[in-house]
Amino acid sequence: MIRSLLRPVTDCLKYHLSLPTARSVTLLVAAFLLYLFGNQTQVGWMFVMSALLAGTVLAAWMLNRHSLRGVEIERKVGASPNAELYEGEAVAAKLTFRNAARLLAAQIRATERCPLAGLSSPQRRLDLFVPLLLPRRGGADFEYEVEIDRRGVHEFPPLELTSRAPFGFFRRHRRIDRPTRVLVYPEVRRLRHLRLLDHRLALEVVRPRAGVGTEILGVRPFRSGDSPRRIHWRSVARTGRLISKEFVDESRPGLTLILDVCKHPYPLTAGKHTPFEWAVKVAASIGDYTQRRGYPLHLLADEDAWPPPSGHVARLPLLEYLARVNPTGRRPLTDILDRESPFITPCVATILPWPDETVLEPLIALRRRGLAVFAILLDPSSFPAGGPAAGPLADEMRASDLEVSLVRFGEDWREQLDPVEQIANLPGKVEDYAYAGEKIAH
Amino acid sequence: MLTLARKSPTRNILGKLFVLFAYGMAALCTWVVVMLFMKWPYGWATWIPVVCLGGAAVFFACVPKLTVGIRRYIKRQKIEPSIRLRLLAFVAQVVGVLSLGYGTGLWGIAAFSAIVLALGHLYSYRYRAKPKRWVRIVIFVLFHLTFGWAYLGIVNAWPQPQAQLAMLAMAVVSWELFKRLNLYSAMGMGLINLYAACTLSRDLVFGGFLTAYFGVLLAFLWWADSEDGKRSNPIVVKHRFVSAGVSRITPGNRWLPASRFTFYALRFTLVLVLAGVIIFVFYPRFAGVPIAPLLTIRAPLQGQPPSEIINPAVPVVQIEGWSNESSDYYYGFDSQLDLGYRGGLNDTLMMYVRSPVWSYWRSHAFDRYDGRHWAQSSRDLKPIEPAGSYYFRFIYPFPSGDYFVQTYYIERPMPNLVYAGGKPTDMIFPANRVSMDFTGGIRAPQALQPDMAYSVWSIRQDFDPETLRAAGAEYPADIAETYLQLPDTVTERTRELARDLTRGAPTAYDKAVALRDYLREAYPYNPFPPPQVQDADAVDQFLFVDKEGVCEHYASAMVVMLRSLGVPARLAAGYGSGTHNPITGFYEVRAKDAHAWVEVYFPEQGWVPFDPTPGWTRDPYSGPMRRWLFSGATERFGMGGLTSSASQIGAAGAALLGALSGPLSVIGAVIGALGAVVALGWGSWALWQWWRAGHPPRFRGLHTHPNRRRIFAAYRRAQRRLRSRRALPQTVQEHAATRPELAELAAAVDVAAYRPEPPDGGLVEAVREWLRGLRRGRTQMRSYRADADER
Repeated sequence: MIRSLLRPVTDCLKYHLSLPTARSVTLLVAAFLLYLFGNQTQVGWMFVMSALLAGTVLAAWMLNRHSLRGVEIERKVGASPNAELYEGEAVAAKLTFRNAARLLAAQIRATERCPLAGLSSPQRRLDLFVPLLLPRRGGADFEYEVEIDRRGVHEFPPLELTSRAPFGFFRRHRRIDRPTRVLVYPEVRRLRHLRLLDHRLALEVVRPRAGVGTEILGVRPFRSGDSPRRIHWRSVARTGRLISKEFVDESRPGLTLILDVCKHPYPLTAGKHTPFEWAVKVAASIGDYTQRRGYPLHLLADEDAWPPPSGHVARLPLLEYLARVNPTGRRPLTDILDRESPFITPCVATILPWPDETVLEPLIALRRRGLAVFAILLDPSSFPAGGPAAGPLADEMRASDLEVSLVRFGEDWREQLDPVEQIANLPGKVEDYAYAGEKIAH
Repeated sequence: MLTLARKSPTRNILGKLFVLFAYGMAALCTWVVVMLFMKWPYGWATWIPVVCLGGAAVFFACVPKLTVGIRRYIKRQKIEPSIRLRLLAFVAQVVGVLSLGYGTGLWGIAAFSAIVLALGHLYSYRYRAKPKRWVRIVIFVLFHLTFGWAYLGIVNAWPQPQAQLAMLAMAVVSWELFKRLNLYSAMGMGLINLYAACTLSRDLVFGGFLTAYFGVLLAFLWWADSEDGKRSNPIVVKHRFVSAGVSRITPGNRWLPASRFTFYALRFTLVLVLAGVIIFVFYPRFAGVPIAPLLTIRAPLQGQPPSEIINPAVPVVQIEGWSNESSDYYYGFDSQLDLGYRGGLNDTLMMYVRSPVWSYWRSHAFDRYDGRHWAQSSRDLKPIEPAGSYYFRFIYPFPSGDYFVQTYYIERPMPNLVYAGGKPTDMIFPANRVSMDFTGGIRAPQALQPDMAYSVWSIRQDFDPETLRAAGAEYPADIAETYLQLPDTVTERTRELARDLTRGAPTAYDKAVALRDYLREAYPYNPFPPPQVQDADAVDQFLFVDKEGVCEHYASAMVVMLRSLGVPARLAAGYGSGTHNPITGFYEVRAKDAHAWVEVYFPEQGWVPFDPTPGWTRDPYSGPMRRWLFSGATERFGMGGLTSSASQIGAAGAALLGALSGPLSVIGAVIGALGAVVALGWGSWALWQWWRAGHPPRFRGLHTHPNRRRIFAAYRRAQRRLRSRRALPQTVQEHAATRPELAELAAAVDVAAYRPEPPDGGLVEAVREWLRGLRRGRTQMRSYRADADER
């Protein structure tokens, strides 16, 4: 408690003053001793030596005060400011030191704490030493490559600089805050095939408007462009607003990706391999596949906690959403399925990071409505932090005639979503579906 | 020394004995240094450091655990791999050796030391990871033998034995420079050598050595920080220099453009020089009690001072008639001064005087004048026995007054006259006995030799004209009888001139001043006056025939005239102050500074000096105490009463400090003593905490009951015997699982640790017996009454 109370004072002293080191104390003691001996022996040279020692400390203090004043840094992550960074990829970072002051800055010790690196990665903390720094023109560059450990928004902490120049008599600290925010997308593995979608018709056309079929799906508020013949007058009389009928277009392609962001009792762990993280990776991979194949994608999740982008979700908005989403929602998935059911596309992929048996019925209901339902279950019991097994739920779902993929930790989920034996049945060449540079992420 | 002790039981005892021996040797060496080098005035005080160091040696040898912190710190130091740092340390040490060689003239020893230094550095680098044990033992022995070498030097009057010790000891220690800490020590030893050299330095050449050392020191510190930076922050970021808009890495990434680095270095140097000069100029200086000069004392002079003054030059350079040649030696430093001698004096440096006060350095005086010669009427010398080691008191008890200390460093053979300024009260002189003549002149047993040094305490003479005027004219009979003597050769015109010049002078002081001023103004100085006419009175010839002369003539004329007026006076001889060098702090006294002046007796005031020689100081009283650099500026530059505001401010500040120096020294001593006690207490507590942190008690808080402690102690003993220590995160049972023979003992330990009631004596006894059985190979604990356990 005392330390926390004194911290502002110590920080003020540390970052605003040049603090003496043991070396300066030693020299001052030596100067004092020589002064005493000089008084004893009346040797003039001793006074000179004492004065020189004391003067050295004083001169060093005067130079050390300004040693870090003009130092500036610039940080670049990735090839360009708009570069897309994905979890698991290696990215190049560059840290540039410049000295804007006239006085030479030297012997600068800096610690770069890269939040992109894993906790045990050597790039997590980089201890740099800049022997010499030229003033104004030129500088010092440090480039390093780091394997991005996790998705999300990462902010580089302030850079701590320390200098003991010249000669190590005083220590000067400076904290340079250059906020560098980096958005890392989740890992995406290219699926070669997704049977949920690929078994449908080959031609996918994105219709500009919904409800052009013949079967009534439900009602919705009137939108400009709707035909007056589609107005549901009974609802208008009841509600006093214009209501149109919504028709199902059986030939309309599209996938609704449902992500369970409810705050399940996930085991606490500092590791990055959790069922939810893998669920996000799976969602990203599926989203990537739909984008490549041209299928429109809708995203469904708890709007109170993590409102997803509405309507067709493009690639980047999807990745940005998946980069940020966390399992903090309060509403279970069943609530969302029940509420959002009129707006679901023919194909539904539900990603369940936690085995929630209550979603079985809503999924069965969707199946009965003629929608293609695909459940992707993550098995928490296979993950390092443990959890309940998802196998029984998967069996139940299969028994209910739902398509289920059970993804276990350590296995490539592409194999689960896209078994190898089905590749031969696909039209086209296998190479069309190959993912260049694929890797196994563990 | 500490690392040479081994850890096994038998060797541990040998190691402790070895450490004890090592510390004892160190205590002995300290005794040698203190007894023979420092020459403290009080014999009993010399034992203080010996007792302290000896006591510390015994204490640390018997309680080695207290040195564990030091040993751990030394062990943590890493081997220094940097060649650059070693080279810089070597250069710094060589600078120290060269400075001592220059100061002492012992180039042979300096060269030998430099060679040994080089070899030592090479060996230290080559075997830094695994030094040879036999070499370390040899170095240890050689280091102590250097003290023996110094002792032999003292006994056999070798030149500068202490300087030889400093050089040789540093050379020997250079074979143990394995770690960065050792290199720092090496730099420190170089500084110590410089310190020794600066006490011997008489000129400004030492400044070159000092500059070189500081340059090397700063370079060393810079590179040490660079090495440390690379060690702690292993990723070195190379700089890039933009030239003509093109960014490029500088060649080899080693060197900066000279202009940028030069600017940085110049800025630092400018600030350093400015700060150093300001600090040096405004340093307040106090005339402290000197410890006798450490590096210049030789074997003491033996014998009894003879009644005749020993002047090495006499009779070689005494020239009668006329001569315009100059020599090193002044014929006035003799039992008799012949006013007929001619010959000038050259610029030969005779001695250095370190004194905070300006003064003439008086040797003796003459009282009897026969028309041509000055002599001492009595050859009797009063022997002065030493009151301590080479310590002589002239006046006791010491009168009150403003004391100052002068230290004399003899450069050329000089007469056996001890020069002193002011009114000497006591001195440290390298002789078994000295004598004093009736004029207050101090005599040594033998002629003074080069490299000899001695110190004198004196009272400053500061006479007030009004006090002297009020002194009156009632002279003691012995003073009147001796110092009013005049020969018949004194002419009437001399007496008449004296009366004429002092007609308007009511007091003796006014008469002296009138005569002095007349002589200074009316008679020009001529270092080569006409030859003395035979059978003519020297004073008469000077005053009325030649009307020019040298200092003896002026002084003689003033003494004769004063005596003719009934004022006791005598002719004093010695050296003028010489030239003061503010950097070295020395007065450089040369042959041409030899001088004669007048001393006039005033009742209750004593002998007051006057100088009638033109170009010399009228009132050669002791000057003010030189508290800082500009103390004597006004006098030196002839500003007279004009004082600059800067000197006033500085003098006022320094005077305040000087006034407080007495009480400050007491307060300082008290604070120092308290600080030492606090530091010792804190240091001991810190070491204790450090040791406890490394040896945490296993069952903290459970040591209240003796039976519990006994069982825990038995468990620890069992672990040592079985050579199987329980790891900290391991429980006793877990440990016992790995060593089944400890199972029963582990159960007893659990009882002792966790049961609320402490174990009874039966369990303790059973544990002890088990332990005894363990020694014999049995590991089964006998059963005991377990009533307490079953409760």
